[in-house]
Amino acid sequence: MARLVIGIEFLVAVAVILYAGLREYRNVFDGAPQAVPVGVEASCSAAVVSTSCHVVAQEFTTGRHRIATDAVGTLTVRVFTDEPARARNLLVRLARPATVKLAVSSPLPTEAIELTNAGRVVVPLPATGPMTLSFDVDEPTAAGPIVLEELGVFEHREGLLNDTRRFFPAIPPARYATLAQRGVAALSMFTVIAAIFLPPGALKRYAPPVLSIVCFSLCLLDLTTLFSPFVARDLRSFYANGPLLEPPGANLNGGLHQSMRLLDGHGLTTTDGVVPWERMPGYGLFCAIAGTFFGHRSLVDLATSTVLLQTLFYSAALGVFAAAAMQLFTPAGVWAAGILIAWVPKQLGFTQVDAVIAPAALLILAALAIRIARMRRAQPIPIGVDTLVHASFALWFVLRPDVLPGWAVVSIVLHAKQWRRLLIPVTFFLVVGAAWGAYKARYTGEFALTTTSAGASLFCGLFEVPSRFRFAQACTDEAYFDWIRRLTPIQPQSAAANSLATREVLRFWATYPGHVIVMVYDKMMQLLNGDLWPGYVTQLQVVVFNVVPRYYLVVALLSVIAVCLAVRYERARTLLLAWPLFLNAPVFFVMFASFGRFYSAVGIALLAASVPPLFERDFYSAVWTRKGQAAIAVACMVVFAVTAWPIRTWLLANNALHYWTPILNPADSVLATFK
Amino acid sequence: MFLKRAVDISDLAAVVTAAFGTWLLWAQLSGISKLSWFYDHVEYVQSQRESPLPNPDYDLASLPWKTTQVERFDFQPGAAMHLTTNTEPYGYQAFAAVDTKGAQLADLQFEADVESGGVTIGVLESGKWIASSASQRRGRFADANSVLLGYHRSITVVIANNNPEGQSRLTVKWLRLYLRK
Repeated sequence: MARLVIGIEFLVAVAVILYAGLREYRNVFDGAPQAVPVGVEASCSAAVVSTSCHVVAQEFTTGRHRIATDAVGTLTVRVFTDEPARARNLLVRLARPATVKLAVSSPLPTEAIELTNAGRVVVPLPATGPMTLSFDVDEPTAAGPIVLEELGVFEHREGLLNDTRRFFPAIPPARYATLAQRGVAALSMFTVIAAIFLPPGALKRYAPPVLSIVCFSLCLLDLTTLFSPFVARDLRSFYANGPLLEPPGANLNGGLHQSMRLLDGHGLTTTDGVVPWERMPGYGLFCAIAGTFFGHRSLVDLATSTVLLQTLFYSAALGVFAAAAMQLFTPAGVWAAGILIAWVPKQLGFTQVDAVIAPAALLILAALAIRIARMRRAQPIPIGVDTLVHASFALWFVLRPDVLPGWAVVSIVLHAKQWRRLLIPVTFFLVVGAAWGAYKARYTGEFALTTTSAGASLFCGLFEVPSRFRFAQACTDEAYFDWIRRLTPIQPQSAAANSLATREVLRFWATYPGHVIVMVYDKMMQLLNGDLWPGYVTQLQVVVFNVVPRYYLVVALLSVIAVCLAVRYERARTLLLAWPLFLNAPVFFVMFASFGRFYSAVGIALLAASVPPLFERDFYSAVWTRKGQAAIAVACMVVFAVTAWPIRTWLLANNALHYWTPILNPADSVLATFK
Repeated sequence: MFLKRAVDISDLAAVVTAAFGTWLLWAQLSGISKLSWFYDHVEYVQSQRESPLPNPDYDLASLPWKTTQVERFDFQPGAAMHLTTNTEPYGYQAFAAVDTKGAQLADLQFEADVESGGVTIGVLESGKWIASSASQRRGRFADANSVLLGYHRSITVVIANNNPEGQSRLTVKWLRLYLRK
C-alpha cells in the first residue's frame, strides 16, 4: 500500500515538475505575445545645438525594436501600421538614462508621462493611425544618450507585464518564479528517495525518456531566472542588447557570427578572411545546425535557436546516458544521478562552446557505460563499441581541445591489451585535427591540428591566483597580444607565437616552482568549492546549497569515490566514469580556468560516478566487509575537508615559498616582473 | 530472521517515505495557495484604499500610542492626530505595539495630510519593517497595505519621520489595523 502511495506521489511530483518548467517555454524563447507589425522611423535632435545626434533602430524580433541614440537630446519615433485598430498598447523598456519623459502624439499630443529604467512599461494608445513618440531627457538630472531596449505595439496588455497563468495568477512573476523553483527542487529531491521504492522494471524502462523531459523542464526553469521578460530580459532582448552589440568574435557571439556566415556561404569565418585562432570548429557547426532547424533570419533568431538546441541536446544526452547506465547501476541509482545532473547549475543560456561540453561528456560516459557493461560480463568488446566511445571523445575534441590528455590516457587504459585499437582514437584525432588544420591553413598560411591558443591559456592561467607578479590581473586577449608584441614581431595568433608563449610559461614554472604549487592548489580548491558546477545558480539550487554548502557536497561525493576505491568496489567503473575529474580538471589547474566555466564535464562525471553506488546493496556489503579501509578513506577525506582551506590560506601568505627561485635565474624570464 | 528484519525495515521506510511525500505535496500546495490568496487579498485591500474597510481590530483611537521625543503630539481620542516630528531624519516618532492574537495577516489603512517634510507609516515585526508606505510630498497621503505575519506574537504600528532635511509636520486623520486569522 505504502509503495502504491509512493508511486502516485512520484507521478504527481514529476507532473508538477513538467508543468512548472514547460510553461516557461514561451516566456523564455518568445519573450512577448505576438506584436502588431509596425514600421518605425526614428530621429534625434541633440540637446546641445553644436553636437550631432545619431539614432540606430533595429527590429530584433518581429514587432520589437531596439532604438538607441548616441547623444543627449530628444528621441522622436514615428510609428505607423496597417492595423491601427489593433495598436492599443505600447510596450517600452528603457535602459538609459534613469528617467525620460514620453509624449504620444496621435495626432494630438497627450500629457507626457515619466518612464524609468525599472523594467517594462505599457502605455495605452488611442486607436488612430500613425503616431509620434517623443522621448525627452531631463538633462540636469540624467545626461546621456537614450537607449530603449525594446519598443513594440500590441493589441492586448495581457502577457506583457505578467505571465498569464492558469493557476495562482495573483502571485507576482518574480515571487512565483522563486516559489516554483524552490518547490520543484524539493519535489526533485523527493523523487530521488521515492525511486528506491518503485518497481525496478518499470523505472528501468521509462526513466530514460522521462529524465530527458524532466531535464528539459528543469533547464527551462533555470533559464527563466535569467531570461524572464517580467523579471529580467527575455532571451531575444538580452542578445539584441548585449552580446550581439560587441564586435564579432567575442565569447558569446563568436559561434553565432561564424555559423551565420557559414549559412550565408562565407565559410567558418568570423569576419572576412578570419578564422578563429582559439576555437575548434564544432561550436560554429552546432550553431549552424541550430539555425537550420529552428531559424536564422537574424543573429537574434540564431542565438535563440542555438539556446534551444543546447537545451534539447543536454536533455537528450541525459536520456542517452540514463539508458546506457541502466546496464551498470540500479534504476534508482540512475534516476538519482540523472535528476541531480538535470538539477545542477547549467550554462545553457549562453551561446558559447562551454554550454555543450556537459552533454558531450554525458555521451562519452554513456558510451563508456556500454563498454564497461560488456567488460563486467566478460564479453568481447566489438569494434563498434570502441568506435562509439572514441566518436564521443572526438565530438568533444571538435568542440574543445582540452579533452586530449584525458582521451589519450583513457585510450591507453582501455586498449592496454589490444594496442591496435589505439588506431581508432588516433584516426579520429587526425581526421578532426587535419580537417580543421587544413581549413584554417587557407586563411592563416600555417597548419595546426588544434587551436593555437594553448600558450595564451597557459599565460592567463599563471595569474589567476593572487600574487605580486605584474600580469596578475583580469586576463584578456589584448593583454596577451600586447605581451607577445613586446617579445616578437610574430602575429600573436600564430602557431609560432603559441610556441614562444608556451616556452616562456614553462620557463616561468621552472623559475618559480612555489608559484606553481600555490596556483595548482588554489585552483583545485576553487574547483572543490563549487566551480565544478559552473553556471548561474538559481533558486532551484540555492534551496539546497543554502542548507549544504557546495564544498561539503563535493567533498562528500568525492568521499564516495574514495571509499569505492579503498574497498575495491567497482574500481574500474568508478575511475572510468570519473575520468574528467582526474584527467580534465587538472588541465585547468595550470591553464586559464576563467572562474570555472570550463569545468561542466567534471561536475557531471562526479555525480555519475559517485551517486549510483549509494543505491547499491553490494556497495554497503563491500564497505562492511572492508570496514577498516572504508574508515581510513573517510577519515582521510574528513581530515582533508577540515585542513584544506587553512592550508590554502597558509600557502597564499607564504611569500618565501611563493617567490622561491631554486633552479633558474628570474632575470632570464620575461614573465618575472613585479607590480 | 535477518531477512525478515530487513523486510520490516524496508516496509517501515516505505511508510515513512509515503508519509513524507504526502506532507511535501500538501505543504507545497497549501503554501502556494495561501500566498495566492494573500495576493488576491492585497489587490482587494489596495482597491479599497479610498474607503475604510469595516470592523477594524484597532483604530487610531484604540491603538496604544507611545511617542519618542517629538516636537508636538496632539491627539485626543476620536479626533485626528497632529504630529510635529523631531529633527532626526528617519527616526520613529509614534508607535503602538499590539498583540497579533494568532493572526496570519494584517491590513493597515490610513489617511494623513502631510503639511511639511515626509512620513513613513507601516508595521514592524521583531524590529524590522514588514510593511511601509512613505511620502515626501505635501498634501493628502492615503494608502492600504497587507502583510503576512510571522510567528511573533506582537507587531508595532509606527509613524516615522521621512525627511532628510529634518522636521516634518502631519495630521493623521484615520488609521485602521485589521488582524486576519
